[in-house]
Amino acid sequence: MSLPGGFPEYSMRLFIAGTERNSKMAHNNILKICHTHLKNNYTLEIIDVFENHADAMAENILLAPTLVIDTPRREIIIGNLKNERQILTALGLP
Amino acid sequence: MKPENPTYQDLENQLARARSILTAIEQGQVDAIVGDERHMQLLVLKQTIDMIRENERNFRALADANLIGIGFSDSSGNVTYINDEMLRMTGYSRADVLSGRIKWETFLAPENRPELGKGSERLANQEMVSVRKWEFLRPDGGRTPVLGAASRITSPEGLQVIIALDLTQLRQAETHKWKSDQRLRIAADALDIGVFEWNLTKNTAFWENDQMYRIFGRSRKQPALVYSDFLEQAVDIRDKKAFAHAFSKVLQPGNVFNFACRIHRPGKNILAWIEITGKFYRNDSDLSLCMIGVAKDISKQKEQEHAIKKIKNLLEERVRERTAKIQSQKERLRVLANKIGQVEQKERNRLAAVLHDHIQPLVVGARMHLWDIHRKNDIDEAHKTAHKVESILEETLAELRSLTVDLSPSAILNDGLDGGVNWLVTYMKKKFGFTLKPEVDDTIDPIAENTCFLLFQCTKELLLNVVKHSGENHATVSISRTHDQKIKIIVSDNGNGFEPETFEENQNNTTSLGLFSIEERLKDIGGRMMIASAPGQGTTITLTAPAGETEEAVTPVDSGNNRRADDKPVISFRNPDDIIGILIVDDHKLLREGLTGLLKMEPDFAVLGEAADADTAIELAKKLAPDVVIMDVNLGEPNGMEATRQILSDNPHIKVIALSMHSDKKVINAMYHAGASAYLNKTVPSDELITKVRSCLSDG
Repeated sequence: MSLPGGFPEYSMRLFIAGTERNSKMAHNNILKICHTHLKNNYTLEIIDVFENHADAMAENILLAPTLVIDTPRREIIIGNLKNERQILTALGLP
Repeated sequence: MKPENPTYQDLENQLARARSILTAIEQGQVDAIVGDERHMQLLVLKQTIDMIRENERNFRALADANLIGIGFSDSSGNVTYINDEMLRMTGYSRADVLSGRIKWETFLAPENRPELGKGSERLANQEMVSVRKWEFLRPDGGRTPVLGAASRITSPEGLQVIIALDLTQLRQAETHKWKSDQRLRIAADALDIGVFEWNLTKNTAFWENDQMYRIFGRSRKQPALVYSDFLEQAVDIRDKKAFAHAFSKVLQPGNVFNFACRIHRPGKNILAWIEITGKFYRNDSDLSLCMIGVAKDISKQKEQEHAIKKIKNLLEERVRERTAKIQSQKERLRVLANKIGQVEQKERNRLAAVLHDHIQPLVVGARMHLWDIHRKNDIDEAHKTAHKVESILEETLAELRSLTVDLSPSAILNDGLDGGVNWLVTYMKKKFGFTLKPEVDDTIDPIAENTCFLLFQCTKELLLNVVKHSGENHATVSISRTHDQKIKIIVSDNGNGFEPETFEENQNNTTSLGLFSIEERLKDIGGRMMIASAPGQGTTITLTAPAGETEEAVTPVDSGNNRRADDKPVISFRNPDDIIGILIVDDHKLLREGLTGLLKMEPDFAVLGEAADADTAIELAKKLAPDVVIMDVNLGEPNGMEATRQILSDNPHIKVIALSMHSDKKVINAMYHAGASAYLNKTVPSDELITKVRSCLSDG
């Protein structure tokens, strides 16, 4: 299900620390969840804090990796996102 | 962004977030703390520590894997840690190591220790001791060959690390390889083969043994020939293309190449045959294509093959010639068989003509005269007619004798080959007006009867050929005995002659067939015929044949009662008034009756009896005790000779006169040998028989 006007229903941003181990794991895990559960109905922005730490500080992001879910409900999850159940709950999926 | 007036819920949320942050940090899920430059430096430091830890983990894993021996020591060289592999190589226990009293020198063989001393100095200066071969001396006295290196780790403690790789297996492998190479060389030398290796990618060559250099006529100082040089410099131009083609066809790893070719050895430019056999493979280290192979000098083998091929061709040629000759002889024999059939028929016709035209009219004439005697009453007339009959019968006998001589000349039976040739002289003169000049050695006798007869026949046939084809009316015949006991007859004329080669070709020609027949018959008794002739230059034909085994001549017993029929009359000591009792033995009734009639006419003769066979004769001789037995030779079995022997054995006083149609020398001799007093031919006049009956008794 997508929003009226064709905008995706789920919008997320992932703050990572370059190619560090946990950051790579977090990136892979969220992509897997998106592919399995969200199909094409999402947007995901990846932000490397080594390259752009100002945005992270503006968002009050202290640690990397951190996933910020903007829609459907703002949620912040820190770590390598290996707990899929936690992510799905945050996304409001059963 | 913090709310200015946080609600309880806000605080709860912040707390939950702080907890989740702490949990993530505790679980090591955080890679970075987002902050300013200082934070970033901390981040780099953390990354460095992580890297060191990672390296340490890898290093420990390497040490624990025990693939190589690893050990650590302090700056004084006291060993502080070694892994299991290093323990195994050194032969020490972990307790020994942990005691802290063992230095690196302890492990090393004495000869390696000075080197380690130098190494320690270098280690102190933070240099790495390069990789070298050492030997560890184990407490049990054994040694472990190793490849070792040492380095000082950059640390305040001056930690040193030593690594070692066990070379025992490598050494064993090297020893094994060396032995294998040795065995290969010995085997190659024993087989007299050269062993080589070509690297076709790098265009290099390696010749393994001396034999390889010998095969190619090169010295050890000269470089081994790479493939391209081998093809260009060694291989003969005739085989170059085929060699390159065969080589390129199998140029794949795993394929086998085999080729025999001619090569030139340098210097003397000697051509030799070699056989190359090799297998292509891919070099493990650089994946280049190589071939390892052997070369064998097969020059001698090729020479033998060539010689065998020549012999084979020669034999095949001989077999072809011989087959053709046999075919030719077969054809001649076929034609000869036909000719013989025709000649036989012709001879039969001739005999029939003689019997019909000459003998039969005489016999008929005699019979008619006999009828005439029956009809005549006048005794004088009867006597005259009887004389006519006698003269007709004599003429008949003469004709029959002539016929017999034609068929088988008695001359040869009586006087051998010499007599036969003399007969031929007369025969040729009488029949063809042909002059034959004989030259006969005295040494030719004895000759086996078969050989004698065959040579006579062949000579006669050759002379008939001369009459027919030479255009001459004279020829010579010479007979001699060779040193190897062969009889040689040369028949020679100065006539037309012929080309001897045509003798082979003209199979159906009468002369050729005649000669062929003579040649074949001579071969049958181990003899041969040679022809020397040319057109217009006469012909000389030489016959040779082994004289053969002769039966010992049977000579008459030269006793008083064994005088020949033609002996001179002897003085009689017998009373002429005595009556001579006679027994007549002959299987022909008419002859017995005729003889009885004849002998009865003599006043002093008394025919005591007649016998038709030997047994009756023996019986009657015993019973009647005759003075004379007139004995036929051909009585069937037992024959006249046997009967004579038996009669004389029973009564030696009886005189036996043999009376036969035979004029065979052997038969005559045999009768004399049996004890006959005389031998008379049935054709002799009656007076001669009567005289002989009387004279044999007078002979005592």
